[in-house]
Amino acid sequence: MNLIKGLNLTATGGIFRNAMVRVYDQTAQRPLSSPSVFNFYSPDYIPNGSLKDAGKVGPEFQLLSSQTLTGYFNALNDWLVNDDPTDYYGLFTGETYKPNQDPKFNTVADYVLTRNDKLPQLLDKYNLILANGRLSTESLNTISKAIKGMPYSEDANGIPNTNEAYRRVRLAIFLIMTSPEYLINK
Amino acid sequence: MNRRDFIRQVGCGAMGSTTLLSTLTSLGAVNGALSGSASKLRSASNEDYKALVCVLFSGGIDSFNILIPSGTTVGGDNGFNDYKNVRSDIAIQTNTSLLPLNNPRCSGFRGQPCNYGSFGIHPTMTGVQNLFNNGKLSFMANIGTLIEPVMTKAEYQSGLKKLPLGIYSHSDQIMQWQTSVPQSRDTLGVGGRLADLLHATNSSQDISMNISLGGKNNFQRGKEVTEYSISNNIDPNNVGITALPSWWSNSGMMTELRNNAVDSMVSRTYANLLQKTYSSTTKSSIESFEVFKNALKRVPSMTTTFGTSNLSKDLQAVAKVMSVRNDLGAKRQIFFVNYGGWDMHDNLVNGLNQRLPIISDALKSFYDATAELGIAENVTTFTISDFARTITSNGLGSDHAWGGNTMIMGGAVNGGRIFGRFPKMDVGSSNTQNISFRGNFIPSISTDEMYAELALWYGVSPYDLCYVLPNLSNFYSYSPNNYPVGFMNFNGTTISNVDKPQSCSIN
Repeated sequence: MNLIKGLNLTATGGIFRNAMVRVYDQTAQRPLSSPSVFNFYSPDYIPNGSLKDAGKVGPEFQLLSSQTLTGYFNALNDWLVNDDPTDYYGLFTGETYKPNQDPKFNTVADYVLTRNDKLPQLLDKYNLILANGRLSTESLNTISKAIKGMPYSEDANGIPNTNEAYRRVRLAIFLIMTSPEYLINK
Repeated sequence: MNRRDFIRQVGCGAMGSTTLLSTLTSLGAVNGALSGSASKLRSASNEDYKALVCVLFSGGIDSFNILIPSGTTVGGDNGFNDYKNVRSDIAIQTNTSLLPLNNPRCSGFRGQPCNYGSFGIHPTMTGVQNLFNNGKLSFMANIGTLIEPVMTKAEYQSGLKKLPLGIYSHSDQIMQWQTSVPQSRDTLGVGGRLADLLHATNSSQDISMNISLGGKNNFQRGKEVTEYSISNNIDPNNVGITALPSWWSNSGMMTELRNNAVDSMVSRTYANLLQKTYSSTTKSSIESFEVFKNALKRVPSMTTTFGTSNLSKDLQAVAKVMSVRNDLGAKRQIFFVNYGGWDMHDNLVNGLNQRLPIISDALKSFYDATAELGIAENVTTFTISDFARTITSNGLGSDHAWGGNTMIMGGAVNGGRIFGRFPKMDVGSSNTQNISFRGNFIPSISTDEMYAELALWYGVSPYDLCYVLPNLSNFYSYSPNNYPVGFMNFNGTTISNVDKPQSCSIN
């Protein structure tokens, strides 16, 4: 949701559909689909580790297992890297595929920010949009370092190579959205 | 041990404490090169491997339509007619359609006799019948959550006996079946406590002793150990975090950049406890998945076929993980599987006809698979559920009750028997096991006694039982050749005398 709003996801037809079947498989979460009548997690769930040592509860962590964690990473991979942000499912029998109802993210405007010296601006932008600026300098440096390791080239007019720029933007967002500072909304 | 095994095991130990993804990837290469020796270990006979498989039927399965008295002797063992009278429209209507169990020797319990002598099972459960009559499966009759023995309705009502919290409540009873501490709503699970005591047995700690096909659960939650959650699709390519697409030039290099960035962000120490919890979960999950993925590449092909139900797929995945136990460095494993949808207040008869054969087929396939792997005697599978359901019908189905019947399966089980005191199929006031006009039975065996027997078999010493089962002393204390229920065959098993002192208080 954060991603869809933040990146202004639009379908050209103005009609949206998202069955979220795959998302549910990956993360065991889907709006209004709690696994039992007792909702998504119980209020007194205590995860092992530092929270338990401190005698505090962490109900939401009941949803976080090694399975749903990798599911989330892989869902991000589908949404951003493979540019497939929604589960397009036919709603009626005999329906034909309507590409204008299958939206894609448009990150072209960010391509100019993918050059090494512009990266801080790219990261600041998404840190602000997605994480309300929660990511620390240390995390941003880590991400920046990874992105700088990726290929980048531009033509004689200074226009970045489309594929390379696409990959840099997508991976930058991926890394922001897997960082602990993004995921914990304090 | 030959030289190659030595190198392999030393290699694993040395790598175990490192963290970088790249290092773990290269560990796979080492193991891959030496996989010939792994398959040799795999076929070793009389190896010290033991696994428990907990199959939860969440929702409260109507287990008095699984195990059914079949006698029709008026004035004698007239169990089937008692059953049919009291269950009316939700009963199996003819005793000839029941699948007969050969001489089940229903044992009775705590000095109380079993109420019936001859039994059959639900007509759709041919696999379970086969396992029972071949001595690979037994039933426990009228088992349930208890803090201390409660023998009669009068004791139940007296207020002098401690009773479980929230009898008839799904959320309480499903939890208590997994924790065996019915006086607490915040406590560790039995599987978790077992693993706390014994996880050091496994040579590698990369993959938890407790592996779950059902996500987070109470059963496998210990003080030290948490479950490791997997999906039933255990194709190695489906495990772990997807690599960047191969059509990206240099995708391997970029995947590594990405992984290193993730690793470095989750390796930092965060002051915020929530961030800390997320980071540690991420870090351990990623490390585990790499090891797991490499082990799965060596799953042998098996001839046992499994059905297409989720339960079959889950148990097939369990069998596959067991097949690479040596690659995972595991001598003890506890699996958790959940197959839900049993809260049949409505549509009970059809529902059971559709779903019980799924259980039966899945259990049979799973037993066959363990036999094929040569570990049938090393694996014990048991079923649990929130509770049984009322004996009487609500017109469409049955409602929440208490004690019920469960199955226990494996080569080390004293099979073909019924343990416990099967209640009289009677809701009248003369039946002192019954506490409601709807037919709710006070359990004759406690979950503690079942788990204690499994724990002794699994290798917990009698000293440590109270850590696993804090209420056990209300029911049982160990002495040689005196076992809590008697459903495990301890011949050739040495009872451990290793004392691992742990607090026996409830936590």
